[in-house]
Amino acid sequence: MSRPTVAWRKGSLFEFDSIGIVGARYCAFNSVTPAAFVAFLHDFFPAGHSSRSAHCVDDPAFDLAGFAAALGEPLRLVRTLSPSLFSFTSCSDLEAWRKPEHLTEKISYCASCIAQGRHSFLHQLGWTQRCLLHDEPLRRLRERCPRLHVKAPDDVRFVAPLIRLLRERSIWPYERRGSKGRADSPQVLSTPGTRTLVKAVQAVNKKVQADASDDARPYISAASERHYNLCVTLLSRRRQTLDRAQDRGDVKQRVTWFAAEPAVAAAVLKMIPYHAPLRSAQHLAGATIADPPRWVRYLHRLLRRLERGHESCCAEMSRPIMPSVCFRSVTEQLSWLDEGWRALSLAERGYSTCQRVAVADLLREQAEAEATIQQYGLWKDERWSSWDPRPFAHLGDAVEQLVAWRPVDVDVDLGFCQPWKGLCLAPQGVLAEVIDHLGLAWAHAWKAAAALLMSEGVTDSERFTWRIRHCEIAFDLRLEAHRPSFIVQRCRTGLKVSVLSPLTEPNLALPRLSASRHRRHTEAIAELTGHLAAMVVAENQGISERVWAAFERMA
Amino acid sequence: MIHDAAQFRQTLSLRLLSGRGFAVKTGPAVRYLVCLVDWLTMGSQGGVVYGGHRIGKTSATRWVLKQLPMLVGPVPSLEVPLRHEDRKQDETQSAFFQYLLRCAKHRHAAEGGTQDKRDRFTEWVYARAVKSPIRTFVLVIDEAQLLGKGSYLWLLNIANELDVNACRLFCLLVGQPDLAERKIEFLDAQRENIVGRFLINELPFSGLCSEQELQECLAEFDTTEYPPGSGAMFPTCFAPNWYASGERLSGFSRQIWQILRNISADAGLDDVIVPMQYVTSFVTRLLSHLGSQEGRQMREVPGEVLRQLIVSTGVHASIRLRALSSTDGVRTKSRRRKAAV
Repeated sequence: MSRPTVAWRKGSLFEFDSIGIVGARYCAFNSVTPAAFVAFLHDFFPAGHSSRSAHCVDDPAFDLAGFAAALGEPLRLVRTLSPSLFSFTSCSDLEAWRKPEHLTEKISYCASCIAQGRHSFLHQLGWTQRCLLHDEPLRRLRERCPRLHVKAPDDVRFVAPLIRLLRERSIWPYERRGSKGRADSPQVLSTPGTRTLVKAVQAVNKKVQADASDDARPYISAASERHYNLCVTLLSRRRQTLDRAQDRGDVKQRVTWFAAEPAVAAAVLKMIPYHAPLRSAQHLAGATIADPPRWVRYLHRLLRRLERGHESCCAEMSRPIMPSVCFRSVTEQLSWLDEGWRALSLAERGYSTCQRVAVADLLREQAEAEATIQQYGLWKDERWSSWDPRPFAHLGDAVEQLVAWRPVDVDVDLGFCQPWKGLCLAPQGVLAEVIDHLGLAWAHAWKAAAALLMSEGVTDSERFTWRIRHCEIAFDLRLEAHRPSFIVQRCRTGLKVSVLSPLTEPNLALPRLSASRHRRHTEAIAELTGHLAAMVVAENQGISERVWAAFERMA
Repeated sequence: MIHDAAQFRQTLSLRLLSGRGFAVKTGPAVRYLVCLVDWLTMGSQGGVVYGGHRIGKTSATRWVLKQLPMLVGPVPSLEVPLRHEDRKQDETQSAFFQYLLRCAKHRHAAEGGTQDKRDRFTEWVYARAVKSPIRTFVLVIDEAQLLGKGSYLWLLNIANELDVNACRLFCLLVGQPDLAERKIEFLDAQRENIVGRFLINELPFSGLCSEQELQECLAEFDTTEYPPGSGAMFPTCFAPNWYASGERLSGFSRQIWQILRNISADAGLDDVIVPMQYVTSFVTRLLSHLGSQEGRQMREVPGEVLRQLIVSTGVHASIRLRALSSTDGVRTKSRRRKAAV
């Protein structure tokens, strides 16, 4: 009896994907629920096996080859789904970090990855703060992910939230047309609260438009004001409910709110241009007061802030972020506008006391903001100027040797905080570059090959290449605190050397090195780099001058 | 020992007759292959292959699909032996797609609603079609005369959905001659879209029509390696000494054809058409006979024995039935029964 088949588009599996995103794609391709994916995974466990492992593919009982065959993907690629690749074999402190308890209970994701329909298990590891692919800070959903099945592995529970996340981003083209889930039902989405809110917002819009079209009424009418106040109250209540639902982890409530938010946020945004106080302020600002007193200047400033608030709202709406974030941001802006409107109304009516208070508040806020900016500038300058090149001074010779390797374009990446000879590298992680170029598995292979090369004294480049291509290297990412390793990758223009160490990896929240370790670390980097440089100098002699000129330009 | 050998020969014969042994190249199958390649390369989305009973349409289709990668590259396919539903209400969309998914051995064939099944099957087909260099999926529907109008429309929808993703669904409809009549029915019902999509290409499939075709077919039996990879030819499984002496099955072609011509003439037919099923059956019987005569130093098979072996396959009944249906347009049950008797 042959194994059952499934629908899976070949090439839909990427290196270091999480089992959650694999499940989301599986559910989309096969029009099934996450529970069916769990059942599918159980086909690859022995009968009666109850997997308690944190990661499905790390379970020794899991038939990885069968899983790869069922999906029609190469086994090499399927192996990269295993977080065990990232084992810290030499450091006991780091080893503890890949234990199940360090798997986050909530979905961590990178916005760029999600925009591409991807998610990596690296995001779920507790020690990652930034996406290793895009070097962006990770975001976290507030929702807790319950286990799908008692016998299911721990990481399978991310399937359903990821499906929802991708669907909310409107980048998930696969919708189960036949599904009649409660979360997808339009009746649930149009709850009375939502309907009331949208109606209120539309009523304000209508009133304001009517006011605007009537020349006899330059200001907001009392009816519009009432509607507006009601709307703001409803919005604030709704936001409080949303926050409470999220804190409770109430999934149904959350889904309902989230799905309804874009409509509400869009309605609110439409309302803002017609915002009555804004129009009043514009009217006042355009008044024929030749020498504006102080309160008019204040009104000007307030008007600018209101305009900025509106622009900010528009920008928030256009940003590809979570609807909830967008909604919150819009409501925050709206509440701010509301405060501004109140201050404006007071100022308009000539209550000088209130006006003075408001102006004082405004000026204080402005001063604080300016101070913050100055501090940021200082910090920014300080960060670069405080770099102490002394620990790396003796690296000069090693890198000089690399540079002396004329034929090949060599780029030495020692992390973002170590500019050398004016070559200030972009503040991005080494891993991000490597993965971007070749994929981390290949980077590992090159690293292992380089180590092999050094240990065995292989100098023949053809043999070197042959060995790389033909040996299957299951190499761990060794981030050794006392002895850094390096990555050698073959780029389009030459060879790139990247040093991997806690010292040079700002993306990984690695422990701070002690002074002695720091010194040893630096020496080891120099030793490795120098060794490699000597090797390649001896090995390569006849590369064109063009590449060297390119390196010179770059350096 | 003798008993074991006889049992082995019988097992092998049954295995071959059940279609699990191997498929041989025949003249009609080659014509079928050429035609299918032509349809695929001209961008058609369907073709009809029809013919009488037991002439080897299904086996020829399997052989053709096996040969197809050598001519146009790997082409994924799915064979669907259609089943008859007695009740009209059983011919639902859900049941249709569930059956297709079952034929595809899909892991989740029965899960979800109608739309789920439909999407699932479309995605399953797309996932395979996209791997093919010609981005085509061949859906072979056997006994396609049972296909209802709704099923054609559902297939048409799937073809359109795949077309959006730059893939093609090729529906190969294999069935009885009634299938050709369906085309006229659809044209009468103003369903040109179905005819133009799936029924525009036709191939009447027949059995072996000439002595040369029979000789080529027998020669294929002579030169087919069985079991695959063993290096031994198929006749050596039955009669190794006879084969080693240089005798071949193709050597009997003239005698066999003459006997078949006589049977056809007796039935009042001018031409001879032999369904492939009876050829296979005859070959296994002949080889079994030769195997049983292995120790007797008898190299030649008498004509009367050959005739008995041919008649024992039941080919004469098939020829008489064909003669009856070709000479008399009215197919009454009693005459059919009489012919069968």
